[in-house]
Amino acid sequence: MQDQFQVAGELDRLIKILAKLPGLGPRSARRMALHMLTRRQEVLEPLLDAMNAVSETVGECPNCGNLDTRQPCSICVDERRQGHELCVVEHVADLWAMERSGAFQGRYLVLGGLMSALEGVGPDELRLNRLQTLLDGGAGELILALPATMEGQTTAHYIQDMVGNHAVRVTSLARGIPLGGELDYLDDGTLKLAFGSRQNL
Amino acid sequence: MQWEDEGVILALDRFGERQFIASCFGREHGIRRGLLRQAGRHGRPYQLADLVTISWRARHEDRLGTFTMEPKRHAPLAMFSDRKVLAMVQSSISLIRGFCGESEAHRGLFDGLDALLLAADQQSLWRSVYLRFELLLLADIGYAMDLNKCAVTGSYDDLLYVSPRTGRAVSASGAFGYEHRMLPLTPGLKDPKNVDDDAMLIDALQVTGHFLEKAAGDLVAPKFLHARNDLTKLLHGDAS
Repeated sequence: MQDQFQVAGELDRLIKILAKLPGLGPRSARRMALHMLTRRQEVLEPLLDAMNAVSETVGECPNCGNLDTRQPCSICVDERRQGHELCVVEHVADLWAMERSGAFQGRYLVLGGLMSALEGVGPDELRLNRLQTLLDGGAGELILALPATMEGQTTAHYIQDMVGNHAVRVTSLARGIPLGGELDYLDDGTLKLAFGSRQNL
Repeated sequence: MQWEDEGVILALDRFGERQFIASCFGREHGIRRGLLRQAGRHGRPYQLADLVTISWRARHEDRLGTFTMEPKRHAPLAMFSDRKVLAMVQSSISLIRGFCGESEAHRGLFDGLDALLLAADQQSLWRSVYLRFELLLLADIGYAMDLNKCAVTGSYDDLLYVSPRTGRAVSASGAFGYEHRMLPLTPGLKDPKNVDDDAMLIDALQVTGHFLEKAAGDLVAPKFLHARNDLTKLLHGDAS
């Protein structure tokens, strides 16, 4: 039987690392590696430069947990933003999604996960100490932009308890029909929630 | 091989970009795990406590296999407005995950869980249904409670206690001299269909909790009782 073709050691290592990236598998990782190697100057070298630069300069913001080249991040130091409105999100990707929408002009806190009684994830594993500091510092409104899941709701309840006697308004994002959504295709739960939060026209 | 069933989703862990490792509690097949390939438009295609129809397929019975699912009933919406309902659903899922072994059918317990998820949206019902769920679970794991007749005298009257060893009712005369060692036969346990308030449920859960802890003592890591502890703390907070 003929031996299967194996790429050289270092190249094999690169392909294995690429294959672990989100959205990629071994086949697409091989294609990607081959593409980079056949276009060294146009692709591989700029990519190396960019990755080195990111590795050296990007870090976690000590205030909100965002990833940025500046510490504190550009959102935290932006004086045009309303400091009394604080949006709590699970991951940096959620913060970026909110920023893309341009819907919010306040500051953020990235929790870095959600509490889960089932998986044993407690408050100590999230960035909730920072939230306490921000509450003590006088936040006016806390907007919980957390997923509509069991874990998201558990975390929201815990944060509500943390707020306690602070004079802070706690709100959460609305739940219901997505833009362009057709009723026929919505699940029963979303429809019921949307019906419960109907608005006057 | 392939089978079809209906089940409740107990866990859904992301596996790569568009796949999940799902764990389901099926009526006929008990807890089974499998790869779920469908990705929803909004991230997770299902959430915990959703009732789904399952089609499971694998080359061998002992392989992970793949799931194909169709939604049947959404997880209770009251979870998003009532933290006690959320804690109750988490506790029930956690107890099933902890006490039921993989591929063991627990049809009665499945029906109990199904009834519980259905009742969760009804403020007046869920306490009774949750207590009955715990009693069903205890029966399934070998701690069935017999609360109709005194274990000592055989009497049907004057039942005041539960034996902490056997889970059977004991009358006042049967427990004479041993009252301090007995667990109380609470009104909720006497009539689980009419548990109307948190205080009644707490009293009953203290007794069922004794047997759940006893059963969990045989297991390596009874971490799954944490969610139940959260529920009892929450009930205590509101009852006091």
